[in-house]
Amino acid sequence: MSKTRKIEIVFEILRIIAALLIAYLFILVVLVAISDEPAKAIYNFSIGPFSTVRRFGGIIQKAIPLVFTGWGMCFMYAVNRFNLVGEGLFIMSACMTTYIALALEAFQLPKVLMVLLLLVISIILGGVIAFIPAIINAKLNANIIVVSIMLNYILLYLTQYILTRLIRDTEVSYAASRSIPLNARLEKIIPQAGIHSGIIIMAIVYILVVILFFRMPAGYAMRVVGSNPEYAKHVGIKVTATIITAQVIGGALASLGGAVEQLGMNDRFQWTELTQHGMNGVVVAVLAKKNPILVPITAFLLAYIKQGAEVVNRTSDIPAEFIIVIQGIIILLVAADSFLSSARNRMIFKSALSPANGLKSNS
Amino acid sequence: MSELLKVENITKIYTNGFVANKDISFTVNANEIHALVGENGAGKTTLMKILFGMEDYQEGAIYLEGEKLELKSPLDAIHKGIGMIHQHFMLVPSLSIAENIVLGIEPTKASFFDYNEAVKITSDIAKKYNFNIDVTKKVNEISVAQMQKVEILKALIRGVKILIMDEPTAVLTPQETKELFEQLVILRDSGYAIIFISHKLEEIMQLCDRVTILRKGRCVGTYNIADMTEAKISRLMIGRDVELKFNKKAKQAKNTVMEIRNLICVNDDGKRVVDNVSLNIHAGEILGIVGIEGNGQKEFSEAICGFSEYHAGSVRFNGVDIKGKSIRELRQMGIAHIPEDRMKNGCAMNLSVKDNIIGDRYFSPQFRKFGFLNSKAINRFVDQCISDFEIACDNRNQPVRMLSGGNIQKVVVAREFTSGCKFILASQPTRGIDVGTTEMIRKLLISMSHEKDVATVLVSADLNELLEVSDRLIVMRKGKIVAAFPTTQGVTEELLGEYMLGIKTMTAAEMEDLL
Repeated sequence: MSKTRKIEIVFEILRIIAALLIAYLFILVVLVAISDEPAKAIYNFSIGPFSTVRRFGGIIQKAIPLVFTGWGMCFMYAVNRFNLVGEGLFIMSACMTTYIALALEAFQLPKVLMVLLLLVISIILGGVIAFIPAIINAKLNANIIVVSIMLNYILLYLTQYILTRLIRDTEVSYAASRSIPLNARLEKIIPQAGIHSGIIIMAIVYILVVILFFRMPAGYAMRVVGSNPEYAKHVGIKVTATIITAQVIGGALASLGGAVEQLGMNDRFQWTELTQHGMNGVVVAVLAKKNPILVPITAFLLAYIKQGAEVVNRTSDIPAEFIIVIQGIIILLVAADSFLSSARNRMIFKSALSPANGLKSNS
Repeated sequence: MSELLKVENITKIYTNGFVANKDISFTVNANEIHALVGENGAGKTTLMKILFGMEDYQEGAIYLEGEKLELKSPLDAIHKGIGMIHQHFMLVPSLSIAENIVLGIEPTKASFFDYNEAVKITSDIAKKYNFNIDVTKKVNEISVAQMQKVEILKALIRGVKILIMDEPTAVLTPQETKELFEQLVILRDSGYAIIFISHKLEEIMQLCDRVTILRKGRCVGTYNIADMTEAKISRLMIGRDVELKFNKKAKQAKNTVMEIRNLICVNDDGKRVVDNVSLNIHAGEILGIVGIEGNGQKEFSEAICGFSEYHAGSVRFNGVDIKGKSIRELRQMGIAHIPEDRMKNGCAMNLSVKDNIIGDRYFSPQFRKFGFLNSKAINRFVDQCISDFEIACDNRNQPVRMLSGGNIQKVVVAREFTSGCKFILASQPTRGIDVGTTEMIRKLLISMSHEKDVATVLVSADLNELLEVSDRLIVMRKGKIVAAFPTTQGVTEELLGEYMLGIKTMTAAEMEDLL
């Protein structure tokens, strides 16, 4: 049945490309409809992100945190748990690394040590917090989506407490922390593009994630449990423990993403609402077919669309928010299993009946 | 005889590309019991589902009394006059038989449900066709054979003209089968058409008027039973002669591998489903467990594999108590298990053949290098399994869902038989599988136990399989062992049927030394 398999794979890829294309066309139609200078808006949207080094750097900057949260969701998906705690963890991690960096300011630690320490703390923090909804779901059978979304709000308001009570800079008129000490910041490695050393951290983590997911016994167990927990139990895999472990790893990755974003991009902690990085991680993971290998590519695609929207926003009369509508369309089309399925089935039927292929016997 | 149903050139392809039916044509007459036979995977189930409106099809047409049918759903099929008796009954256990039969078409009085009227009309129809049941009884109090009658009455009261019966005798004892056949003959003579699906050729020879034979999704032809013999049908079904009898050497008593003492399992309703069972299982023997489904065999077998809990008693495997041991520990001690439902827990359908074969041993040192999975070693091993067990797949990375039922079972068997086990529990190992694979699995079970001294427990609904493969037999009824036979010599299906039904029971003294 290799022919059927091929058709299935081709249609899987087609579906994602079609979803992106439809969303892209929709953007162009919207731009034509609402812009006074549609040609300029379209140019800025599609070519704009590549027109200067700085703008291209912007794509990379936007992609880096999405890669981390996308990986996080891949682990959640691997064990079939729609745990959305990545959203809250992202902001929590950014806040906590800022807090700790400020608290350790007096010690004047060497940069490498300081950054490593903060990243390790963010990983532990993410794992510990992600454990909470995971264990509640496993032991009390509470809906993971509800628990994780509620937890996100707790995390958000906790960061606001820390921001206003513990790290707020009273010298400035808006809600922002004191300036992050220089020894805690990630170096800009390509200053003209604004790209920071978080991209190196990403590359290292990429290797680790792929190895863990595909080459380690633990990753294998996660995929088996996600695919069929009954089977996993039958062959002697510890189902509950595996499900929780995967979510802890997923949380750790999202949290690491928050720390890298904060230390690489920002001077102060000044977020006062959820950043949507976690939710965008869902988009990235779904587009990548929940495969961590493809996550950097899909994160780049999403970042490109976001950057295009930002360029349009800056150069014309279109609000950047319209990008959220576009994301919705992409998700809808990719997540909808039956999109293009009738065409796929027709091809399978045709190929199965073609005389060259012959009728397949059952054994 | 008037032609009732006409099926013309039906072709059905599943979305995984599998051609289940190709150009199937046959007719069914009124006053006829029409057999539909074929190996598992030949397309019988698909064809049935099409006739009952559960599946659509790509080509062809169905005519009922000359009128073209476009069935949208089973409900539609029932309205048009086609009813189906499934293998698994769809009844509400806490309601009475009468209530179950009229469910959805309840008689009413002043817009309230009229129970007395329901009892009256259901008992009338039961009497009319000589169904000997008390319609006021609750469904949870009656036997499987009676539930089947309720299902038939449900279809009759809805005015069907054609009854499709999917292996109706699989859940019955020989005695119950005989009774069912008498009723089916009455129905036939009253003008109904019955499509009778069965594996048991002798039943078809005995009951049916004509037979349509399917092979590999195609229709071989329709024949008058009078012109056929079992051997002829079998050859047309399979395309070759199959040997399902085995030459077994006499076994000699070996050491006890599994020692079960006073085992009790209680289900969620607080009912004892395994009731005080004590048993020894020895190396090198195959113990067959006989019983009507639902008499505790499933709970018993899952308990001794550590898959579900038991509540009292002890199970010792090579002298070690298995209580509290994880499934992984039990597997490492040498317990293997071919589960009853290969789709549910036998494998992960979306994962590859490879991932399904190494499921229980991916962590073992043999398949690891510096803590990573050793792809080379794994691939070598999996490829060996694919060739040893003749698994028909494109390659080791093909998802299991794309394989046929028989090949999926081969994947399960390859995993369990290569685990180096000392004890294997085979639950319904050949259910729903083609004859070739059935032959292979039975031979493997025998060679594993007789040549490699594996202790084997075989749980099966197929009495013929139990008699052919087992060295000794026990019969379970209502969670207890009611009979034990030290050998299968001289044991007949009818005799087993009497014990399964509770017509006969052995005393503890009679079974002493046999457990």
